[in-house]
Amino acid sequence: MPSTAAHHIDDELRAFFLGPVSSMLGTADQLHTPDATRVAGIAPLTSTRVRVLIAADAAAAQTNAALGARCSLLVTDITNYRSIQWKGTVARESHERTPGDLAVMHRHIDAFDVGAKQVRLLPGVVHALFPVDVVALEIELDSRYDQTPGPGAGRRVA
Amino acid sequence: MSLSLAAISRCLQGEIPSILATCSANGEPNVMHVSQVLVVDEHHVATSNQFFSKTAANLLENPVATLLCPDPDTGLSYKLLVQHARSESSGPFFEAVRTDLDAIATMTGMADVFALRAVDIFRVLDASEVPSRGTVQRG
Repeated sequence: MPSTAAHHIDDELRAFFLGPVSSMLGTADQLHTPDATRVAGIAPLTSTRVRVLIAADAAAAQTNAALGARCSLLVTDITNYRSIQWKGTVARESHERTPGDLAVMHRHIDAFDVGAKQVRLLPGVVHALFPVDVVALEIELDSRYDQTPGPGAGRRVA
Repeated sequence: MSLSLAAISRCLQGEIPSILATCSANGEPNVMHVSQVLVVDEHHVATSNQFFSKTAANLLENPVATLLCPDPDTGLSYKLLVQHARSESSGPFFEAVRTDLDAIATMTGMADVFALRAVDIFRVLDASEVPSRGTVQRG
């Protein structure tokens, strides 16, 4: 059962979000058809709520992410494979980005770019991985799982 | 399918991990990295099942999944809507995948944690390109 009492985002995890991370948003439609779309920025709003930026043309994800819909957020440090997946509920549906969102997006891409150099991704690849424009949505997180590759992958940690 | 698997085979070589999204019977999505997506034939791909028990459970309940596969040369990503067909834990194809995976694990320094449990075979229902900055630049 998801715990709504646990605080899922502490200072260490806030720092994790600011690192060279690749992040994916998982959603599903009413027929339970799953979708994955790249996240172009994450901003913690509280210890359990995050603002997430996805492509403005990610139609499936935006449709799926209706108010109250279940979703997942996978965040992976591309330099060491540390992976955490949160499960949660859409608390605010997709809406127009703000100037602050743009700053979050550029910070996210810049940090990813630093990691991409370390893992020797080809120059130019980073630019193409991210969307042209973004919208924002908010997720209330209620559980967290360690998905770092290894025998403990999938273990619930909060 | 709007794109053939042959056209996107470059994405399926594991240089940038792909993403596998599944969904439980009660509608909760799950997202995982997969080390490698392999082309089985013109209508099927396979993924290596190493440590994702939640994904396996979801596929038993709901066989429809989505793969997101980035091209390591361009950064463009392709989305594959797939349906789980079967799992193989022995045989020539399984052994071939294990050999490939061992090579990837050695290159990435993760030989101790990459233990292949099974190979999951999926029928590809659709394949399409994900719009990106790269799409705009290319156009």
